Amino acid sequence: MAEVTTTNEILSGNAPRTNELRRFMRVFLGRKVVLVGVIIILVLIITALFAPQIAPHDPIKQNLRIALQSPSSEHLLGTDPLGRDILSRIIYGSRVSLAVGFIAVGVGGVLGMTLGLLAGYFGRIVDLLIMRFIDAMMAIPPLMLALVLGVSLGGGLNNVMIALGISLLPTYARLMRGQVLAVKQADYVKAGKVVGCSDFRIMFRHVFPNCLPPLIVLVTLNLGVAILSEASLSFLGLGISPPGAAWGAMVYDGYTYLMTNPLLSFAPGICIMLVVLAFNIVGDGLRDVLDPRLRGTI
Amino acid sequence: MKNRKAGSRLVYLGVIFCLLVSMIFSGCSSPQPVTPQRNSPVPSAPEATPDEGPQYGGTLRIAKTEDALVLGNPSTMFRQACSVFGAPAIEKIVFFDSAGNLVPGLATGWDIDSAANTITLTLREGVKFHDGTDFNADAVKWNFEKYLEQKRSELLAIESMDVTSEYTIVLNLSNMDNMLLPNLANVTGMIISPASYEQNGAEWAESNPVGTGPFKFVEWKRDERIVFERFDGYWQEGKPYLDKVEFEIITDPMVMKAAFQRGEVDAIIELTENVAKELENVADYRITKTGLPMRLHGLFPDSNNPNSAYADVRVRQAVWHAIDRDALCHAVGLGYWEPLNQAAVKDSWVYNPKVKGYPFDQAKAKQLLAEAGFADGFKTTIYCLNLPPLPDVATIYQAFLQDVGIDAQIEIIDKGRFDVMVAGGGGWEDGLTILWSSVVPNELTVQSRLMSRKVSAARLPSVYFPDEYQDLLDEVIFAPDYKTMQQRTPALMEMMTDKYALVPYMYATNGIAARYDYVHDDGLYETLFSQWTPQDAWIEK
Repeated sequence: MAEVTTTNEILSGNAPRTNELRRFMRVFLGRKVVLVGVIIILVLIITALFAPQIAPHDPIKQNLRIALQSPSSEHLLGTDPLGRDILSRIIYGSRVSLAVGFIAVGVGGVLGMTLGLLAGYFGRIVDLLIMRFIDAMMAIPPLMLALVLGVSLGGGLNNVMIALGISLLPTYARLMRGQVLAVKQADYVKAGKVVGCSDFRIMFRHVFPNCLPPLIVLVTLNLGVAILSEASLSFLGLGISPPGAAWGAMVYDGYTYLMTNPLLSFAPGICIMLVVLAFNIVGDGLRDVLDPRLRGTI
Repeated sequence: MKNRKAGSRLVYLGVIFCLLVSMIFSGCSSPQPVTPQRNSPVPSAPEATPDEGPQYGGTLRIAKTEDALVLGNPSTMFRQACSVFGAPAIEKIVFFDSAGNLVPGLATGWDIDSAANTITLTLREGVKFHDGTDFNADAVKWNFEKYLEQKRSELLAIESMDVTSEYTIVLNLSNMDNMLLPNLANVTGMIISPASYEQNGAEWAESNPVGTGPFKFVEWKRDERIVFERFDGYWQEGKPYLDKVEFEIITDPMVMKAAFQRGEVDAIIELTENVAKELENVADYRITKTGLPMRLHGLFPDSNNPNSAYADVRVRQAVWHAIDRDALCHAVGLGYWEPLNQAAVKDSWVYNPKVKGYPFDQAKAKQLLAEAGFADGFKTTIYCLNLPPLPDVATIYQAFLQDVGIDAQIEIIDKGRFDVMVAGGGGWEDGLTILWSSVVPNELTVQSRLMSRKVSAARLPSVYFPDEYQDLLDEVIFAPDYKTMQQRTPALMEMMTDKYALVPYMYATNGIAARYDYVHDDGLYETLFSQWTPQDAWIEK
């Protein structure tokens, strides 16, 4: 049944916004699988924020006498080769995953969107220089680029986050440029120029906000990509330094014990899988809501 | 309608998730025993037993995680591990027996004249290279010249050589080097055909081993396999027993283990400790570890830096006291490692039982730190190569050092930087570097290569080696004879450990090999990791 907007609501100016929010919530949360994804992400965030309160043991405290223990009431997921509680390390590892996801995407998003905005808006030589640079970056597989940058910057978690961010940059730049090329033809942009608005104002006040919806979807999807890439880099030894806990590093550490102590690798591996899946599902849900081509079909 | 659709998607996702989890856990279930696939034909005759003696035929398939860098030109073979691959084709001047004594190889005897600084080698007669040329003193001289062209530290004492007969060569030494003869049981004792080398060039020789060994080289597919076939003109009558020897390169240790359990290979070498532990209780397999230790691992301090805490001997002693080596060897070494209280294992003649060492005593460590002016501890770095299980070992060191107040950060370094720091002589600052050295043929090699001014293959500018110690080390290495060297060694070990605590040595590792019980007399990883007996190996059919 179509929703009816009353005259008073229109006059108060709340009606379209309220309706848009309602539509957003209805479409976004209408699919239960998206709800599951949201719940997993919320659990991840809560676990990361309250890790010290939730973790049953100190994640870096060693006890060599209880190395490689099977699950028990004391250690629900058992212990690793250094006698550390696996569950506690997974809980603390969520902090690394979350930090890597948001910081890497933040670095890549800010840089990529800025470059895309400049290239799309100014065009000509600016566009040529920026986009050829982006093309060159895209010629290198993202994980390989992150690996090379990580090694060049010296490894460690901070450098890995920066390296991952840079490796994600090209996709944001290309998408933003495409959006800008479409939006800058709009009448309100031309009107802004006519009334004498500065390029900076037009770019960030009028063009940028109207390019955002598809980029928000990309951000969500890339959170999963960044977490997975961090796991890969940690697996290759470029991530967090010992004794810190990170899921990718835990998978790697447990790899040689797959037959005797499978939980060492599988427990953090399943966490990676669930979180990446959750971010992808939520990303899909956001696309369903924000993609104008799907408007009215869902 | 939409809700039903979303609900069914949820069900599908749940099913997929359950399938994934069940696949994962079914993969972890105990493997079913597998009958090994032997590539040798099944004999129609009654089955033989080991008591009936060696049997002819078959292919011995050996897997290893790392390929050779150089296969056929030993003068450029700087890694001892490469000689395992070359052994079927290239023999050495002498060998070690299981007790670590030298036994004849291509040399049937040797005479050491300490007064004249000479070693005379009597060579085996009637031996031919695979290319049909004769093995003789000229060939040995040519090979030694190649080693000297590469400035190999193992043979640097050789000043000149005299071929006095077709099968006698005299090595004239600048000073008596008691490590020289044992070094002829390693890479620098490998003898290749000069004719093939001269005809085809150095580059060809690197990947085409032409020696006097029991097997001829067939092919080398890098990072895949190396194949040898029986050499009918081998000098030991009736040998070898096998038709072929094949090395399979399987870079992943877990895949290598799985290939072994599936019977795709007959033996695997250089196992990780946890894989060995897993296999050691299976009746079909025979596990061996090298009689002589493979590597000594230590924490090398930047003690040569006057501003470093480690410049004070009491801090180095405290580091040694702080770490429970027994617990470390039990947890990570799984019983295959030996804790050290000096730079030698207990069964070695280099070991000095009078060395007091530094037993695990954290109270004593704290006291020593306080006396050195570090009652509140200090910050430091542990530099560690990204090579399992070293990061785990570094983490254990870190925890023990933390207990006595030393706040250590672990810096995982890549191979390139490690090479610059260690082999390149770049050094390191404010920290301890986890380093190891191959024990070939005995622990004195470690000190000779890392610490001697005269030999010094590797330079460690960050580590303090006092003149008094280096003088004594050179007196030991260049003692007039082997007996004198053995007499002087205890004083060296005492000075290195009790007086200066130069390098806190932590543990010794052994090379480990596993093979099916139908493989006999292979000698893989029984004495040294770089030596085995392909000519004696046979497969029970």
